[in-house]
Amino acid sequence: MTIEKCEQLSSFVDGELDKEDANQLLDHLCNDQDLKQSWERYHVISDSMRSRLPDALHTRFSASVMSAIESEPTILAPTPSSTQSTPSNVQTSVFKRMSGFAIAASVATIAVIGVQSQNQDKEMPQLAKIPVDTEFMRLGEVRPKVAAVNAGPQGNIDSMMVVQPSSGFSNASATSSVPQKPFHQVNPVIQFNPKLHKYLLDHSRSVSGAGVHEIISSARIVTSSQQSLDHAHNIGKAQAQQ
Amino acid sequence: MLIILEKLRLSSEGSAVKRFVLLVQLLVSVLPVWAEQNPGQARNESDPSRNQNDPLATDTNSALGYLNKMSTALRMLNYHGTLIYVNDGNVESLKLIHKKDSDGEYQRLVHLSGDAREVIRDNDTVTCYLPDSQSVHVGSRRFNNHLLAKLTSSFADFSSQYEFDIEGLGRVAGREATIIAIRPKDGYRYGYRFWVDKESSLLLKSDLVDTKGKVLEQLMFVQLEVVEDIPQQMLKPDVSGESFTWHDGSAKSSVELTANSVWQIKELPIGFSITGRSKQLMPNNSEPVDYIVVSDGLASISVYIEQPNAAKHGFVGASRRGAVNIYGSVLNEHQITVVGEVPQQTVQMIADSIFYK
Repeated sequence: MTIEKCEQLSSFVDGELDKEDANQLLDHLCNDQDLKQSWERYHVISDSMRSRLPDALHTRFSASVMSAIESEPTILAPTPSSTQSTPSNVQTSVFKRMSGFAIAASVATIAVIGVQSQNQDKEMPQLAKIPVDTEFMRLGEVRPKVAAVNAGPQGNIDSMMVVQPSSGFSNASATSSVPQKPFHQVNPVIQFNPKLHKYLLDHSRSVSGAGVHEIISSARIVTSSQQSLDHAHNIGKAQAQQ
Repeated sequence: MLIILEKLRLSSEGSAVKRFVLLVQLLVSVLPVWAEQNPGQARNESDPSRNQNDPLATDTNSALGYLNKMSTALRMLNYHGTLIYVNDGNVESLKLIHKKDSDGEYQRLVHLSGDAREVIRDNDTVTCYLPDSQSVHVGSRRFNNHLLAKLTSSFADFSSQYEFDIEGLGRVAGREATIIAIRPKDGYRYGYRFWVDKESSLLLKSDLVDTKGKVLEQLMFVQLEVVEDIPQQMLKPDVSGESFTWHDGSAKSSVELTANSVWQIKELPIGFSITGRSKQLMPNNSEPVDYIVVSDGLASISVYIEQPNAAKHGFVGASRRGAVNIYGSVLNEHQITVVGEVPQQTVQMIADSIFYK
């Protein structure tokens, strides 16, 4: 890869290269591995300058897709027979090669999105998502972070909205002896009881200066109404009786 | 800018004229960035040489820097705006007014739909006007936002429980914002995400997130104005509260207790400690209750221990409202209620760990 080629590539990414040089460059691009990597890098740089980066990047992805396509030649992406194209077929061969490249690029894009959403579904909680970083991260370098927490029983709580009085508690000495492991027995959540309103109110008021900001605790107070709680509770009781 | 940098490097063998042109280009693109002095912007540009001289070079430090600026802005500026609050799928609209002058700090938050419930804070005194229950609750807050000073001075205390990071850029209420994330390192606390205004450093949006990444509670300004002065009139409650029942739970009616109190907590989740104890009056209770505050610096938990007669009507088991988890139990005929914006296992663990000395 020559300095000249890099300069050309940079101009091409910036849209400053004339047609003839561009055609020539595309020819090289299809065959020069280093140049192809630079091409990807330059696009990432230009995307980052426009704040359009995805949350995680796999810079080698399109290269692997490209090699996969090359090893399985199809009608859409024929293996170039020679690098020395004659002037008459330069237009068509460039078009063919570019279409192959475009397919690779779109496959890569879809794959990156797919991998990301899959990861989110699987074990990466929203908060542990890799932020856009100065270094181009690989998906393989995902740190587990909060993931371990998901193994705890906490995950089931939301689906366990049991409207029945809880019977007894886990023994204090037995449960508190393992402070760093999530509880194996977390009691089911009971519907919010109006009796608890005063605690919610007092707690929110008492700790309003704690935490990073106090607006949220005040918001909890003004949005929690004793009346609506009573109402909801009576409906709940009526339903339970039926 | 990087393309130009690379061009500059690449063209080192090229003509002097071209090098000069590129150098000018580089300066033109770099100057506005320096003028802006914006670490968030700088982060998107992987230029290591600049970061070495920047005291806020690492993500953690600059995230803390943003939080620090945000905390100061929230306390020191005069501003008012409308915001929405999302909790358990309910969307509520609120109005916020904040004033700071030589006498101190005032804040008023009003519910905009339904009953005009409001919370007015005059320095450390918090008054809640609740027209729907015809009552006014007066109390004092036990914290004074010293957190951020603590955060930056003794960061090690927090770094074992939380991870701080800049997550990216966003836009809220028509303002550009930097997103700061605080992620918990275990299942005993929740995480936070803050959108910090680039211009004023005020908080524009705030998420409380559980360990699975689910947003439990959200607060977001839809309109925000930073002003020179807030007229006192704007801080007056809409309801006089004259005919209401007043509950005074302020400092006068509560007694600070020493650590030798009869009620102790055997085991707390790592990072949490007891930050305050008192005896205080609760609405509808003739006898004062024992009150204990537990905090890890970000999340706070209130523990209420009531007289034997209260236990008969008490709540036993786990309940939840939005991000706040509550756990009730009975010990030695006393009603114990633990309340906090932490996962259920945390309030339950604390409730189960309380013992009578």
